[in-house]
Amino acid sequence: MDHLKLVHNEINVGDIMKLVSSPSCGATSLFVGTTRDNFEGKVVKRLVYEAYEGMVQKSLKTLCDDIRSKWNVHGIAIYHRLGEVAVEEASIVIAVSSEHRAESLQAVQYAIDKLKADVPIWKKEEYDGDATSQWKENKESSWIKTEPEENVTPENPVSFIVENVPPELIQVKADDAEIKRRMEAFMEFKRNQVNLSNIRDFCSNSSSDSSCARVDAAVIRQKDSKGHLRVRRVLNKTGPQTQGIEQWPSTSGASSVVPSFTPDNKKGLALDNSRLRNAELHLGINDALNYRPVPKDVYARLKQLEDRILFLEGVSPEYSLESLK
Amino acid sequence: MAPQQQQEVEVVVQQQQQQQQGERGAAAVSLRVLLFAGARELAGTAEGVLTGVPARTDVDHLLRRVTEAFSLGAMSGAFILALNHDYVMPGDQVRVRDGDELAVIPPLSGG
Repeated sequence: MDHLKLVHNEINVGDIMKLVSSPSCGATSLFVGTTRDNFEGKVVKRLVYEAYEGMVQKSLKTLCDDIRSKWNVHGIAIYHRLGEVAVEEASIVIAVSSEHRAESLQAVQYAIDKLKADVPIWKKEEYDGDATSQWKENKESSWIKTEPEENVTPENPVSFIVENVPPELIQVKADDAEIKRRMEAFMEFKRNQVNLSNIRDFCSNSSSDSSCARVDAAVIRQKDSKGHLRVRRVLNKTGPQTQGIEQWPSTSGASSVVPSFTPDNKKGLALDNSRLRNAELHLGINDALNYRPVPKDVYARLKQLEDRILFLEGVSPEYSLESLK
Repeated sequence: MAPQQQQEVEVVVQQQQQQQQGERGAAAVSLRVLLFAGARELAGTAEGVLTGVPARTDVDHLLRRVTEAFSLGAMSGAFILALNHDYVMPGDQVRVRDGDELAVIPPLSGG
């Protein structure tokens, strides 16, 4: 049994419940929509409902048939207030009874959603203070439009429209097609960049005069390596770094530690003192570092250097490999 | 119903009627038009008559005629129509008879 009514007086929820209750039903689900006293910070003074009464009956009947085709429910009652409705009073009451609760609960939810979307009833809020008023718009109402020319059909409902977004909150002022175009253009640009870089790295070593110092491989010491020498050498087969260099300098870095004396300065002196001293300093022989007296015998000093080299080769084979090159 | 709906205002646009008849060559009918909520306030009337409507027409045509006749340009696109208690959508083809009820339906806010 369907009880569908538009009423001008206060709705008694208990009465509506009695309309649908039945001994065969284990559940009656109720939805009561009440009027609020505020909207976006404004105080609502009163609400006025208006309906296309001739159409509402037909529309509600269609809704009931729809519900009965989906759920096995016993009684449906939909009462809607018209005219002025005081704050906190029920503007709508929907009651559905069924044998078990699941049907009536789902049916009530469905009924209020569909009613808001399809049944021709309107609500006007009148606000306190500045004496303004506003016709409300349910977000379920499928033909709310932001642009007059837009073609909205029930298959293409426009919902969740946020009106009056402050302009300072809008960062991107482009439509979907433009955003898509920008993203694709950016991806294409990055792809081309990567492609060019790959071609430079891997495909053009033969003609690399214009290239900067690209590397083929970097040798980086492994995390757990025990070697003392931090190897971070790269063999540049091509590129500006190879210009005019025939081979690797065998004692790179030594000159920055100790100012070395070139052979020219001490021409004619065999086993020059300062050359020995340089070697001793470079190899970290303690006596030399501490400026303590060194053995007078030059062979004793050479022996010390040899011993030191053998020791270093023993603990760090990289040194000897490097020097063999 | 709101009190404004009691007064009936007939809107006859003679020129448009003749123009429509000349264009389409079909029998022209008059429709009873009901306006609600914001549309009623904008038009300043709850009810009117739209004359010279071709018997076979489409909803876009009806929307244009109603918008012109009741000065609803300010809410153009923000309302739909119901013909004899059924919603009709832009693009629909409709047949109308004399005295059919055409309602201007702004976005709903029931519940």
